[in-house]
Amino acid sequence: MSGKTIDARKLGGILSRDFTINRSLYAMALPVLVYFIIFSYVPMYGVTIAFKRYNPSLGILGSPWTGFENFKNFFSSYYFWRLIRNTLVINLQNLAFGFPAPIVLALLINELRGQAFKRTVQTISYIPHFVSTVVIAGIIIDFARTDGLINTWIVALGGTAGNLLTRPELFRTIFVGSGIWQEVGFGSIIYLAAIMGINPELYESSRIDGAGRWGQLLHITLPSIAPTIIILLILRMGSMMNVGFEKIILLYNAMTYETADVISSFVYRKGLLEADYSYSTAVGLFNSLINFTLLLLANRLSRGINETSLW
Amino acid sequence: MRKASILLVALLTVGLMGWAGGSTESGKKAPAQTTTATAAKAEPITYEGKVTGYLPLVDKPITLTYWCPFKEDTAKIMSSFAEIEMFKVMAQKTGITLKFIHPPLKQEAENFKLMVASRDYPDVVELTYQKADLYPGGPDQAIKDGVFLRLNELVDQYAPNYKAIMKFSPTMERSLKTDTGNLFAFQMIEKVVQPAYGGPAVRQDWLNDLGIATPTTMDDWYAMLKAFKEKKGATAPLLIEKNAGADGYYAFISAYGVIADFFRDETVAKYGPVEEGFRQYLATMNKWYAEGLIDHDFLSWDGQTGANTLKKFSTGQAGAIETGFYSFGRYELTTTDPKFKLVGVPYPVAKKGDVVKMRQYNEQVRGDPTFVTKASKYPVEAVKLLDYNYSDQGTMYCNYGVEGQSYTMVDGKPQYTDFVKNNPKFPGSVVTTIACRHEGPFIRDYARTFFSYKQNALDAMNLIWNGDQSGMMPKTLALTAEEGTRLNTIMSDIKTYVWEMMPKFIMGVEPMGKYDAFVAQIRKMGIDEAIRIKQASLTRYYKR
Amino acid sequence: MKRSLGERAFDAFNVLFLCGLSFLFIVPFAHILFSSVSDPMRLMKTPGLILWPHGFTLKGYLFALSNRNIYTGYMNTLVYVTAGTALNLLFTSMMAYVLSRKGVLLNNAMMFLLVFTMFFSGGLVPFYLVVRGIGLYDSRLAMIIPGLVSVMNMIIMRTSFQGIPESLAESAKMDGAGNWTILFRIILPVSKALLSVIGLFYAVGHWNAWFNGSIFLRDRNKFPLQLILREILVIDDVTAKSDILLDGSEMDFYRPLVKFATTMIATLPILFIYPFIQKNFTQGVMIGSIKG
Repeated sequence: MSGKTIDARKLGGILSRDFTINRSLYAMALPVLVYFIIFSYVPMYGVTIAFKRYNPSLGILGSPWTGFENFKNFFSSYYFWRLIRNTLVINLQNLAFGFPAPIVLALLINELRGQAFKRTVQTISYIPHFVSTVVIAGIIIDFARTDGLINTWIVALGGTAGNLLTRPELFRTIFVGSGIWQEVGFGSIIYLAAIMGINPELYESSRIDGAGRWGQLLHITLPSIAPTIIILLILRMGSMMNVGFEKIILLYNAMTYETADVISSFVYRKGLLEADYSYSTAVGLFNSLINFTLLLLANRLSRGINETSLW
Repeated sequence: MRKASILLVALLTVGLMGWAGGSTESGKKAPAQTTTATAAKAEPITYEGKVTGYLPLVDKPITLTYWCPFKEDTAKIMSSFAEIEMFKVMAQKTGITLKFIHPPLKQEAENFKLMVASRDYPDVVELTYQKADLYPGGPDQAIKDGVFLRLNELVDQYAPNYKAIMKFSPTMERSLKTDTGNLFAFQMIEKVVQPAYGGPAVRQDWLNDLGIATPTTMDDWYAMLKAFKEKKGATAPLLIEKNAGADGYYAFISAYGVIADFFRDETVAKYGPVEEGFRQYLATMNKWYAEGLIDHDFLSWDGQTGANTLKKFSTGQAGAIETGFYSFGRYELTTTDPKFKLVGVPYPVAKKGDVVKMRQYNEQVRGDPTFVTKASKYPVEAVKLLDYNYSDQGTMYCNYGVEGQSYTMVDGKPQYTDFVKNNPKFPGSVVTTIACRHEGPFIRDYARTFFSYKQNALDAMNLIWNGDQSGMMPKTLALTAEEGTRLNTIMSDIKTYVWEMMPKFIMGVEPMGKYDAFVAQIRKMGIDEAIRIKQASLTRYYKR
Repeated sequence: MKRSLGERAFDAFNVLFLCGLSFLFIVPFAHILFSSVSDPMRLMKTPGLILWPHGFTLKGYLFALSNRNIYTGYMNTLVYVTAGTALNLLFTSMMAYVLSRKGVLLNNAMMFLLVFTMFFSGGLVPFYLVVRGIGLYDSRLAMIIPGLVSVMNMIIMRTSFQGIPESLAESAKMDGAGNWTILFRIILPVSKALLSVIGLFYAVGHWNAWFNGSIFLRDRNKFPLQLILREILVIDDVTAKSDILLDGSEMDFYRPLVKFATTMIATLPILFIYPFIQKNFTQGVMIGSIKG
């Protein structure tokens, strides 16, 4: 449809033909569309809070406009660039290590022979996903202490002990690493399901052709789950500005603000001083814009390279 | 087979709709139907013995909706405060039944905001623990916006008990009103102000062993901590918390006449980190840290009674700590040393003769504002009911519960019964929240549950830590909406900066030589404007 | 079938490696489990990981179970999970099916509209007002209807449906089957693995859900399990400080034990769902695995 000019009547004709042919499909989609209209699109007027100063008794619509003031407050913060940098770096590291990890785990688990052992490992691997952040943070803090487990090893290997959570250069590693540990199991489920669904005949015929396990991996397994990987990757690009504040707050301290303070933790602290909807909505909107742009770019790129894309 | 599942789902959904219900109460019978129209004959209400009114408070029984946070222990066995005996008895006597609306525990702030957004107000809103300015712009704005009622006239006419308590002390009325003179809520009052409940504490047994007298100056402390380290082998002689000086009880920092936050010098507002005393504080802490007198892991402080703190204290790695009186028992319980004895010591001063003016402090107006909403159809009745809490009878109900069930009078003094002290559902805990109120709009006797504390803990609070509090900002300062936003914007950055730099100076990561740059940076971030805002607020406070 | 030496070495290494990982994964679980049955006194004095029981007592569980909210929470959550997941799967697959068909003009537009909602939302207040406006306040349906379709899950489903060979649907069409029939009789039966995975995702989501309950439910008897758990577990500085002022008795150190026990009670069932799901994985088509 690109580049062609279609006059209104032709468009109308094409559309009505489409509606006639695909009537049942549109009917099927209707309830879901209605759902999103009600629960997502109707409330969207709330985005305007970002440009107002919210007074609850005036309601959102009645609150006074303040233009870009909330954004200016955010952008002019002394820490603005640091927050953006930390948020992005953590997410990039998460992308580089945390995205492939579940795939690798799924592939490894898939290679296991014993069924019982296989199922046990899978079940155990996703348990950390269900453990609350508070408990996980407590465990990490404990590991990192000067007299904690890890330092005991460090000293044994000839190093000097020191609380690891006071080292800004280590924070991201600890944060991202522990996040991977927590999520890799649960994240591998979908890949495992995809792998296990691959037609065994494909493997058979490749074995007959003389392919080894490595070859099978490269030429059958990976290509088969490629669409899953790509779609999830595109979606992942859409959360590059999101780092949850809860775990950051639990793990950071004065010494690591430099690398640990992210957008969400800063906004959270601000919210403690005084609940300010307008500010946090503005920041949220800013994040969403960037996220969405990244998603669009990723989708475009993917569409250009292969046939898997969102639209 | 798919069709069958669809049918199943459809049935489930329909069934759900029926059972999902609207805003039905729980299965319990609504208590509102108690027909006490004829009730008891007019019972007198008294305040300090003098009659101030009569029960019942209404001619025909009514129900008021009452929004307030719930309590954890109560939640374990009841679904709302309405099931507490004390409220049932009060409902019967006053003729006013309360229908409670409880947000989920710990979600009170969020729910309050949404309630305001939906403008669906009950008759009474109690913001236990939340600051009065949870409503954006504070109580003045809330009154202006037509959300809460200005209570001055109503209290004057219908709340004799509350009126009486307002005259209790010169600062009482000032603390209860806003800058513009609005009386906006019924609040929790303590006639006897609770003394500082936290401060420095030291191992008495070590002091005895080493022949050291109770430390009173920072130099005393230095010598003592050194002795702890060298003679007792303490690896972390003094335990302090993560944000020492900014949170906590302000011991040590107050020796230099500052805290790491706003404070006042008479009627002048100041900010600690840009004052000279702050440099001296950091320099001292830096020295102590460098010589191993402060816990090197203080950034991993896990609370006064966190496992790590307990371990350090009980195994003799530490000899002094800044803590609350209520934690003494825990330390004594977990120590492995039979000679362990803890004692509270005074807030140290920089030099002999100085007076420490900042410490943990409490006011007579304890907070927990309870508002009457403009939407209420029964403002007079609501005011009368809330006022009842402050009468002699109401005070007993709120503090102790129902006589015979949760307390008995022994030698003219109320004592809790086993229902509260030894309830099998709550092993070894004192559970007042199933019998009476822990906080709320009434005159509270804070010490009523302290019978289980040992003498050394109580002495620390009552005798030792108390003192001059004139450096602390009043707790009921108010800011206008614009001021609030502006201050918040400025302080977000400054607080981040100060909290980041403080431990760095203490730990020596940032050399004291760079201190001037530190102060300059704070000024650049706009602290002067922030101080002006605080000053304006303070000035208005004194004009009330 | 012969495996080379290299392959056998790899297998051995793999097993060892995964065993090591499993140990790492189970650490937090072990910590909670053994803490929940340890003697509270010893627990208080032992910072760090509890990897075996320090002393033994079941009192934590006894007191946890005396909390009436646990039972109501369980019943509610079970209903929310089953009814919720069923509805989720139904509507999500309907939308995914439509978007996976070729030749539907508005598909790209609809997809865009849906993905857009993943990024831009009006925030809490308007959402709250809308849900209330519909009449779901203090209704159990407030736990099920909002969140009915997750765009992310729907996209995964769509990708999967796109991988099913067209020939299957084509031949059904030629026999006169309409779209509804194709979806329910052809596509879904062949997507057991997908439905299991997405069903698991939704089910876990329902199991963990607490937020909608916290703002829409007033009647405590409708609270889901996780909301109850949160009430007990979340550290709330303000309340915590003042409740400390209340308790002075020595034995109040049972509370942490109760917290651990309640966590176990509220988390165990969902942990052991996976083996039941997993057997569906080898049946049928997952994603793009059969080349048409």
